[in-house]
Amino acid sequence: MLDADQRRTFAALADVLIPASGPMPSATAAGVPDALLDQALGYRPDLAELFAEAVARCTGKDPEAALDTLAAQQPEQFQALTLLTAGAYFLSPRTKAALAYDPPPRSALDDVDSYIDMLSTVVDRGFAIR
Amino acid sequence: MNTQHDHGDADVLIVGAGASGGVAALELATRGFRVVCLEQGDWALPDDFTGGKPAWELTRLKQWHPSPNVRGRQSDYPVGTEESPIEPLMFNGVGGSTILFSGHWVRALPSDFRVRTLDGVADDWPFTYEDLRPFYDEVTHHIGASGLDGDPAYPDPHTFPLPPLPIGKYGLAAAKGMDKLGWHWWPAPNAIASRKFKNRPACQRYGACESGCPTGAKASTDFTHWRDAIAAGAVLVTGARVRQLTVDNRGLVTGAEYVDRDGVVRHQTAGVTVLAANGIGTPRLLLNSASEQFPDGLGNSSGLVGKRLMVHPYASVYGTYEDELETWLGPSGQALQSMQFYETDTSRGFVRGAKWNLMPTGGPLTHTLWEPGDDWRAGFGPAFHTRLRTTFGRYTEWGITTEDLPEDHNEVVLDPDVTDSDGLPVPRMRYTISENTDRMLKFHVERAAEAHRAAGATSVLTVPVVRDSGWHLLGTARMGTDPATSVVDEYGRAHDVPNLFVIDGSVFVTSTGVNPTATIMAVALRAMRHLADHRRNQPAAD
Ligand SMILES: Cc1cc2nc3c(=O)[nH]c(=O)nc-3n(C[C@H](O)[C@H](O)[C@H](O)COP(=O)(O)OP(=O)(O)OC[C@H]3O[C@@H](n4cnc5c(N)ncnc54)[C@H](O)[C@@H]3O)c2cc1C
Repeated sequence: MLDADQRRTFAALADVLIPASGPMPSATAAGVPDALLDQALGYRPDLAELFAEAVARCTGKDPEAALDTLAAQQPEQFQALTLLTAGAYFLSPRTKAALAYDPPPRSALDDVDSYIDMLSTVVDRGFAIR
Repeated sequence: MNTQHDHGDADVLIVGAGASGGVAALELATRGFRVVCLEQGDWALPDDFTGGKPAWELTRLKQWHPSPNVRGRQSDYPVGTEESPIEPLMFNGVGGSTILFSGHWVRALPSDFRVRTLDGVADDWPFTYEDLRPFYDEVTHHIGASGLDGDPAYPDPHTFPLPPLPIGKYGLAAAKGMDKLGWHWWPAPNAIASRKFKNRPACQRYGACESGCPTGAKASTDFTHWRDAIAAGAVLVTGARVRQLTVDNRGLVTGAEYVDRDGVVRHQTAGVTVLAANGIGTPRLLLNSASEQFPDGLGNSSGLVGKRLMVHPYASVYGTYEDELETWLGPSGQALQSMQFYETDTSRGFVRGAKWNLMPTGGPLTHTLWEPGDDWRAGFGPAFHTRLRTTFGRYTEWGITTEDLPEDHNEVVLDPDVTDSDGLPVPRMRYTISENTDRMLKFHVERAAEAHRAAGATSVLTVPVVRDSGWHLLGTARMGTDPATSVVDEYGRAHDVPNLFVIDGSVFVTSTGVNPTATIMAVALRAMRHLADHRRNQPAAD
């Protein structure tokens, strides 16, 4: 679990990584630094240490400059940080609503009718079997 | 450590409960053999998989990653890959690698079995497409594959028990592109149920096939074979890592020594032993079973155990489309396949060819992954949204499975220094991409980029060789008629040890240019049916 200071540092980093854009919320507006981060860490406990190290390294620094240094010098930590940030972002109901897509499950009924005419051309062209 | 004995004597011991092991167990148990299978991993149930659940996109990169080196479960063993541009991919558990396979269910073509005759390279197989055809048919109908009859790339209009899966908006867009170019395409055959089939429900298009099917629609052999094999009397022991096969003074194999989950070393005796541990696990065991009688490893008088490793180096060519094509929908699985450039045309500068598969690209997280060395501002900051807008739902892959030819220097060897969690030497993979394959990859990548453009892609991204693509592990105990140049005969029987069989992907003579599991299972069925039919003449250990 992160303490309040760590969460504040992370929130600033997360908003540089994922700012708001059109209908898409920023990381903090999506709720990333709160319960969603804990949920993501729950799925990937193997990343907890790298993540904590990344946050510690960026503490007290300008977030954007800190991210530059981290990406260049601690790529594993940067990878853990960005994966968990984006992973938590896509767990957010606000993000999902803004993405406006119709996720699975969906029936697997075939759609042969949509291409059967094209397929007869494939058959007509034939194939040189050796 | 004391060695303990249990599970009684078996007529047949199978090592590995994957694709080929499942075929062997069902065939032999239903034919009245007492079958025991030792499998190092566990059962995985559909509910264990995370597809369709919030955890999916994060866990598929670790807990359900196809590389044992990343997953690192107790049931996995590490594979040394410092000398390979390709990572070996597999799953260790009941169902074997079919637990994570994409389910592309593709037969080889007739030319695949005669490359020496037709192209003057490598070797012919000891049998032909026609010999294997009834077994392809039987396995295809047994597992419940979905597909459309009549693909002109094949000499016979082979049938499927289930109609094809939907090709979706992205499949239709790609098909139109192929049509413009006049190139072959076909709605792809998949080992995924498009309708309820036997004990499996229909696919629900989660697109999570490669991290375990959450509905149980995919034809992994835990569903298609193991439950029935056990009902027919086969005994499946999980958490049992075989470390060595044992032999008697007549040179017959007497069974296997294995380590259970409590670290206890046990022995399973059997009249006949069948290795089904895949193209890396099988040579590992044969090499680790060296003895005074078999100083270079069991069944290795030819020196070819572990050699001739083939892995189908794979290229990805991604197209970005303006229209939203619902590319988050499965199956994953393939929507289309193309054999347009499968057969040899020497004017291209190489022999043999490759099969293409059109695939979706999954959920949103996959489009935002950062890799060391990338400019982070290209995918995060304001670019995060630009990238997501242009890729999520609008990005498809033509994947290219190339036929690599067998070469002795591509091999699996035992690491002299590193062991797994049970003290067994780990295998190392030494592999280089040949000049022929390199040219083949380049040619196909250019053609696939043309295919995307013809379909209306606004941009194309190519990954000329995908590192995490060693999902086809083949050739490391090849079959053949001559004991000097092959390890097993056409029915998988070791030339050197008449009661030892190998039936997994190791036996491939050449790799073919298609996904191999339909062939692995057909070859295994042919071998095990032959064993059952000729049981009276089969030598067995006492
Ligand atoms: C991510 C992924 C996607 C794939 N997609 C496709 C596809 O679309 N189409 C296709 O045709 N193929 C695909 N494949 C390949 C396919 O899964 C394999 O070709 C097939 O499963 C190999 O069958 P096999 O019997 O040789 O071995 P496996 O199925 O790998 O089974 C081997 C079994 O042996 C066990 N074992 C090994 N060593 C020991 C030991 N010492 N003691 C006890 N048990 C042991 C293992 O735990 C494992 O369960 C894919 C594979 C992966 C990983």
